[in-house]
Amino acid sequence: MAVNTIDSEPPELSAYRGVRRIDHTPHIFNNQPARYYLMWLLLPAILLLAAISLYPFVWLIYMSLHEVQLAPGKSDLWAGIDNFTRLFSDKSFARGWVTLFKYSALCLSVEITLGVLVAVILNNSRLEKLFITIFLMPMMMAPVVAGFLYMFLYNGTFGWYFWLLRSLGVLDGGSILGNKTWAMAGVVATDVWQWTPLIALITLAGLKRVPQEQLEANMVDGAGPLRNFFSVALPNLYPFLLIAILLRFMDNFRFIDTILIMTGGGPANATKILPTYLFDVSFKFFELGRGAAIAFTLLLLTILLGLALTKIFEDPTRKIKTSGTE
Amino acid sequence: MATVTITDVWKYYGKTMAVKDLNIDVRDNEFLCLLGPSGCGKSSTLRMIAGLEFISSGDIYFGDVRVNDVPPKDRDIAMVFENYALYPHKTVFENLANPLKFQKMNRADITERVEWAAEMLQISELLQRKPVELSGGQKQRTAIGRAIVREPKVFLFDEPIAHLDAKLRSHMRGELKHLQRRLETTTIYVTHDQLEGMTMADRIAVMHEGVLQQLGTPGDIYNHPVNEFVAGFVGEPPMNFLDCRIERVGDSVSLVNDNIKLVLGGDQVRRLEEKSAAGEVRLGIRPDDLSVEMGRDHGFAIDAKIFVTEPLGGDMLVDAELGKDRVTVKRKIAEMGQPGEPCGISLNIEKLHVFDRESGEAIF
Repeated sequence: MAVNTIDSEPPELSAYRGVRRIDHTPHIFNNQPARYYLMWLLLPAILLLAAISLYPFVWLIYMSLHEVQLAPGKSDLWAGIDNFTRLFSDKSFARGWVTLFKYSALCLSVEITLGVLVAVILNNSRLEKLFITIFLMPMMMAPVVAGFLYMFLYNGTFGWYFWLLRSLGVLDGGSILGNKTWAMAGVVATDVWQWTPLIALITLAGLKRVPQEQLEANMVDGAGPLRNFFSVALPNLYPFLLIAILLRFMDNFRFIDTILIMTGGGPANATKILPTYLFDVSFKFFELGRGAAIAFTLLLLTILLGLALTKIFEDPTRKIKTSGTE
Repeated sequence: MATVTITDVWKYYGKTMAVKDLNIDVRDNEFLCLLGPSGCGKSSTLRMIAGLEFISSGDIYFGDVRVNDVPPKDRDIAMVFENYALYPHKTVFENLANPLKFQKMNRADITERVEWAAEMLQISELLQRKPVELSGGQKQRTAIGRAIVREPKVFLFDEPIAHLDAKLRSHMRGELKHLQRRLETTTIYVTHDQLEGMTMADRIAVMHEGVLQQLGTPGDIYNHPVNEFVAGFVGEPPMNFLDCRIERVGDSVSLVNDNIKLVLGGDQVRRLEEKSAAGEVRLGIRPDDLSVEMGRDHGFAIDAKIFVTEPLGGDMLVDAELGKDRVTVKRKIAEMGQPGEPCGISLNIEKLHVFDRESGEAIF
């Protein structure tokens, strides 16, 4: 009897003797009519998805295992895993990864910090709707356009930002995108400008879902506003931040538009993240087989990192989701 | 250890008035219940005491200290919320320890206090669990635990057991009352369930539409309701009301309608005179103060017809029709009788309540 007290309480109520129980389930509950027609309803969508994503994927693997010939009439040569083994000795490949991680880490940390800050400031303010509308504008812009816009803003002859930085004495000479350190900062700033609003928007949606009662309970417990944010609001935001981080890091791993426009990977490969290198290999040197191998490693790591991120955030996510409903 | 004094407090939400000119003195160590239907301003009042809502006008004092502008964290209160408001990412232990951490208590003391509270609430085995892994009753105990780990000036309860099932609720009523007596801490308890108020509170403040209707002991409220609202809200099944008029024939004064004629006693007549009541009134009588006998030969003063009978196990309720009116009678279980069958009813005239038909104020 004592064992019972943990799960069903109060103890006295569960201690009644002689409770009747039925220990088998009648079969009628197991015989749900099979709903085969659902499969037919799903089939068109599955086929379409297979055509647009599975087919290219299979081709990617095919290409990565061949020396792809571009000249008409020539058939591709079987290369085995040569394309992959060659990557190990490719210094540009390794440097591409390092640059990519640096770029993505910089973008993410600045965007998350700023985005959460903006969301907290905007939350429940009177101008919330207006500011959301304004913030959405950069997001609506094609990345190529954002790239061009910032290239002009950084321009050494007529760029506003260039002028501003020079006037403030921060920039000594030369140009922004021509300097190794400044170029990285420049492309990160473009990404931050365009995508912080997305993070702010997702966080704002999350903030609306933070249970008011928990915040109030914490206030009564003795928390000031800052402690309240870190100990109650932030843990409740984890699922939303996970979505934001996942979206942004995957974008960082595949978007090359802005960088291609602004620096093309330069100066001296300072902004040559792996996807730009992949672009060079495939579409400048036309080594499609090697390019496919690089693309495959990129895909693999994106998936692995995605899974790892989900794992990190998983525990609090689950628990918050289920407990909020009661 | 503190008194809570609410003086001339008003609360507006925009232009909506939630609390009107409220005055309540909560005594030291008292268990006061704010009782009323939803939207009566009881929760707003509690939230103003907690500091979670601004006071539109008026003052709230803890002891001699005016707390209007004191933030919740500095009010030294503990509150239990309707939906428990446990922190889902923290274990039961961490939930309980939360208020102590803010008091900068050292680890050993925190552990000791938490274990003391957990023991008291019989949740010691649950300390390492997260809130999702708890049943409704366990969550509720954890929420109470978080309130009692420190020694606050005032406990605030906002419908803490409203979401539990009926059986657990009645169990927790006893536990909460026991706990409050043991901890000897001023407690303000909000509920819409009159039973919780009646069973637990030292005094009940009945509120309706933002206005305090009556403040008194459960006995006061039950036996001497100040108006028709209080009379009808407190008591289960609720009080019966019948429209009557006052008729004077010589010295005798009686309450009359198409079906009944009740001759009032001397005391009652005097009180009618004091309030100079005449003409139309409303009669109130509790189901326990009525008697019913089945069949045609009942020997009671009033003829009625059975509408329906409801057995409650040991007792039964009889809904009887008196012309157009219907009254509920509670009695020991007996033969059931069928709808439409005749029955007889008598009233305990001593226990009559009479209300002004216009204002609803009690005459007696």
